[in-house]
Amino acid sequence: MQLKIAFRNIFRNKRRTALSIGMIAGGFSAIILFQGFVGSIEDDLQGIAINTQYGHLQIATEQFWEKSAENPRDALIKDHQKIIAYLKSNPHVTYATGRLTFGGLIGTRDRSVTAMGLSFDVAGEKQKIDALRIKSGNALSEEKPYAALLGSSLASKLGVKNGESVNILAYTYDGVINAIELDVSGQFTTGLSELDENTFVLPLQTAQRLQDTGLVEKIIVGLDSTALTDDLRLEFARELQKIDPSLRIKTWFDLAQFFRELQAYYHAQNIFLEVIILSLVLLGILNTVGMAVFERTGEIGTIRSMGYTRHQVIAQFVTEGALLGLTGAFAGVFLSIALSSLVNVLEIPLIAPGATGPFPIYVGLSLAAFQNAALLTITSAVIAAAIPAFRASKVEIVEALKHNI
Amino acid sequence: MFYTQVTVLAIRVRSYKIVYMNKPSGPFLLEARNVSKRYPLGDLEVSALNGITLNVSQGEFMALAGPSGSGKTTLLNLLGCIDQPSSGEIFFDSEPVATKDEKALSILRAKKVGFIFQTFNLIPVLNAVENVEYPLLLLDCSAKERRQRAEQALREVGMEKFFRNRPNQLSGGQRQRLAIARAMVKTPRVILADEPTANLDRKTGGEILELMEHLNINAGVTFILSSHDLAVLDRVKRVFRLQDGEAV
Repeated sequence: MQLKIAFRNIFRNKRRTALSIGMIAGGFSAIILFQGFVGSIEDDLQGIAINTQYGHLQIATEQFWEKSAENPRDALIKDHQKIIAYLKSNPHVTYATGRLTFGGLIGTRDRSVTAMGLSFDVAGEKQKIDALRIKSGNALSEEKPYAALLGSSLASKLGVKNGESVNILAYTYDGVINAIELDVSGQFTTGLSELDENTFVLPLQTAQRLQDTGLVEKIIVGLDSTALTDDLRLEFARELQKIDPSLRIKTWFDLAQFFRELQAYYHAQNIFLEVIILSLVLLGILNTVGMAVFERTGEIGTIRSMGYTRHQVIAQFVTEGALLGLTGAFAGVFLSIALSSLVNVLEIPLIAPGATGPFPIYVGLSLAAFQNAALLTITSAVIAAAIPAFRASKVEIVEALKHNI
Repeated sequence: MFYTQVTVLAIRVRSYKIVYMNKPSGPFLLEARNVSKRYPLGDLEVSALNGITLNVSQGEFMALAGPSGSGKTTLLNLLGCIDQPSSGEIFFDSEPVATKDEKALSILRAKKVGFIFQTFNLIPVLNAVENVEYPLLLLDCSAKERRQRAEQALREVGMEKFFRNRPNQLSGGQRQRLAIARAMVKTPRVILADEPTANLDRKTGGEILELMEHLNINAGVTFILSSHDLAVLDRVKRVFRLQDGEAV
């Protein structure tokens, strides 16, 4: 009966109810759209971080992570083939390869710049090489070991074209300068200008030759699911202790400082925006619900004279607020689906700070975002109903009865 | 013609006094002992009731009479336990009302007191049956029993054809019948009716009074009406007259 009364009361003043539902649905959609937009950016950045830089897990010696080795050669992994074989035996591991990274000088006859060399196991990390998004030319292949991929901005800086050669100078682990000439196989982009300006990629064996070692500094592990990262880290850490007690494992999240900072920034922004949206929704509904409660002061007096308590009166209005919030959230689901579809279809270009080019705004939808938005908007509606109801319930019965129903 | 009217009025006034002097005795359902009610009005204090003593026995059919502003509604509110006196005491079933907390007063009203208002005060979103069912939600009744009792109450007030009608689909008389059914349905000890016929035409008002009298006689429910309408005062068995907040 209470629910029936609440439902009928909601639709007592259709225009006012439509306004309240509109405000709730609008607030709901704003939360969904912003969370969906931010979520898709985070997903993209997470994908870039995992696929082009860190993998899911990275294994290296404690000396390497802490940069505590007197001789850098001592920080290399001694038995990487055995470790890779163990890792590859796990069904969730999609690849496990050794890696060397180094700073060096890359140049042509005319120009040279410092850059970071990333070495990939061409056979083992095909998926990661593909994720580099080749802008022009060809990816690395096993058939051409003396080839390199250059970040598109780096290639522009050097004025080098695909098929031309570049010289790379770097220190070996013994501190001797070594040089190698490589053909530019192609140019890649990661979407992040910092990487595209300073990075080149070459096959692992070539990098090992350049640095005069057969070892690797770390092992990159790819998984079939990012959600398994923490669990498999623990499992691998236990087993690897038996092979080499000096090994330590870090996850992509430990290593991706930029991602962590950006995520924290977006989360703070998200909370701030949610507070603003919900405050607007709350004030809007407070006004309309407050008016409805005021108009029903006589009714409050009547039902209290029947024996209903203050709490029962408040409960009645709170039920109405919750129903209003629920209806608004329900409308908000359809509105946010419609708006997100529109935004995704329009492919509105956006240039993010640090990005090398525009990318289309994409709004991803998730059940968690819907649950969160529903919880927030319904709570706002309940609070908006409870405040005037609480005030009205405190009016003396005889005073309330002076208002006509 | 004028002479006849004056005679009738004189007889009425006399009869009030006679009835008023025949105070009921014995254990009382309601007692007001030296009750006063004062309201603040800016810096001043206005006295709505001043030292009223009134005893009401179970089964009475009485009225509080007096001109507008004489304190009828204030006294009715005090007797119905929806207001507290500034001084003096109200007793309901020989129990002092002042000792009861808000929850206990709500329970008392839910079980023992019914109200009928001049402006009907029906819940507009509920139909006739639902309006009558509404007070029963506070009592220990199943949904089926609630429905049966509500329909029975509506039949008793002659509203059997209007079960599904909402208040705005009913005439003034029908609304007041509905309000009576709502007050009656929980079989209260007392029904307090504030100017129950003021918004009705003479004929409909007469029918409503007849209905209340019928319920008083047949169901034994105590009725306390407030009115300055002579037609009402003619019909009740006792009149308690007020003037400027004092008994006269």
